[in-house]
Amino acid sequence: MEYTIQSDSNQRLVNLKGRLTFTDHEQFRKITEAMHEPGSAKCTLDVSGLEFIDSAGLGLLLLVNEAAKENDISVSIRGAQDQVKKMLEITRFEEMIPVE
Amino acid sequence: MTTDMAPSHILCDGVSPEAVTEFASQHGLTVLGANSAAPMPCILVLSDACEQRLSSALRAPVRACFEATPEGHGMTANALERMNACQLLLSLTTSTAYKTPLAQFVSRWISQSTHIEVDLISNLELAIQEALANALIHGNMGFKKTLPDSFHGLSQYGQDVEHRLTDQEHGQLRIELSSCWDDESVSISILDNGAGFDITAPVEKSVTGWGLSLIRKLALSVDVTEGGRKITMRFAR
Repeated sequence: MEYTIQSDSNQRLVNLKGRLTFTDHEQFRKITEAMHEPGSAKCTLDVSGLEFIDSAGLGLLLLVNEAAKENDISVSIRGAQDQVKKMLEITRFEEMIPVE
Repeated sequence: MTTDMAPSHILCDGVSPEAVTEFASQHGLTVLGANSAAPMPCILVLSDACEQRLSSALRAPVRACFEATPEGHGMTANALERMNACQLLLSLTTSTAYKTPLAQFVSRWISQSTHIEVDLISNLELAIQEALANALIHGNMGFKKTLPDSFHGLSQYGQDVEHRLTDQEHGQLRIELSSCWDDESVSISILDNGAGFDITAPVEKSVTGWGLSLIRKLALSVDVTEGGRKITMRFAR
C-alpha cells in the first residue's frame, strides 16, 4: 500500500492506494505518528485508491482512529469502492469510524 | 472431489535440474531441461521466489509450485501425496509468503485453471487472505495477535515481525496452499507448521480477531483440522 498525507489548518487528508493488508503496519506506524503533528482537528481517510482491504487492514484504520482521538482529532472515511465498500458494510465499520 | 491426472513432470526455474533428479526418480517424475516449455500439467520448482517471479509462475499449466531455498528444493513425499489429491498446490517459506500478495495470485491461478464467476473470485481472495494471515502470523510466526492492541505497540511489533521473518525458526517454516474443485464447489486448504490453535477457544474481537468469522460468512463450510494447523474452506460455485 502507498499513502500520502496533506495537512493544512482545515483538514488532514490521508490518501491510501493499492492493497491494505496485515503487512502494512510500518506505513501505519508513520500515519499514526502524523496524528501527533500540529494541524486540523479533522482527518479524512480517502480510500478511493484502495483496491483491496483485509480485516487487519480495517484494524490498522482503527489504530489511526485511536491515535487521532488521543490528539482530539475526529476521523472519517470516504471514497470506498467495490471490495473495500463491501468490507466496510459487512463489518458494520461505520459504527467504529464514520463513513462519508 | 475428483482430480485431473497428477503432474508427472518437474520444471526447474533458477534451480539446476540435477538438484531434483534423485527425488524425481524416487517418485516416478520426469525432470525437464532448463529451457523446456511447461507441459500440461507440471510441477514448478522455483528459486529466488519473490512477488514478481511468483506472479509469472502461478499460472496454468503449472499445477504445483515449490519454493526452492539454499537448503533444498522444497518437495517432500507428503506434499506430493497432498498434491495428487488436489488440483493446485503451492509450498512457500513464511518469509516469501508474507511479502507476496498471495491471495490475489492464488485466486487468479484458480480462476485461470477452472472457470468461476467474478463474485466468487473476490470471495476466494478475501477468504484466502484471512486464512493466510492467520496461518502466517499466528501459526508459523507464533504471534498471539495479528496486530498490537494499541498504535503505541506498532513500532515494537514491526521489529518483532522483521526479526521472525529473518530467523530460521519462523521465517523458513513452510506454508502450503492447495485447491480442489468439482462442478458444485471450490475448496481451498491452508496448512501451516506452527503450534496450532484451539478452534473452540473464544476469540476476542477488537482491532483484530475478525478473520475466521469473515471466512465463515463467505464459505459454505469451514473445517479446522490437524490441531488447528490446517483450515479447509469450501465455496459454492
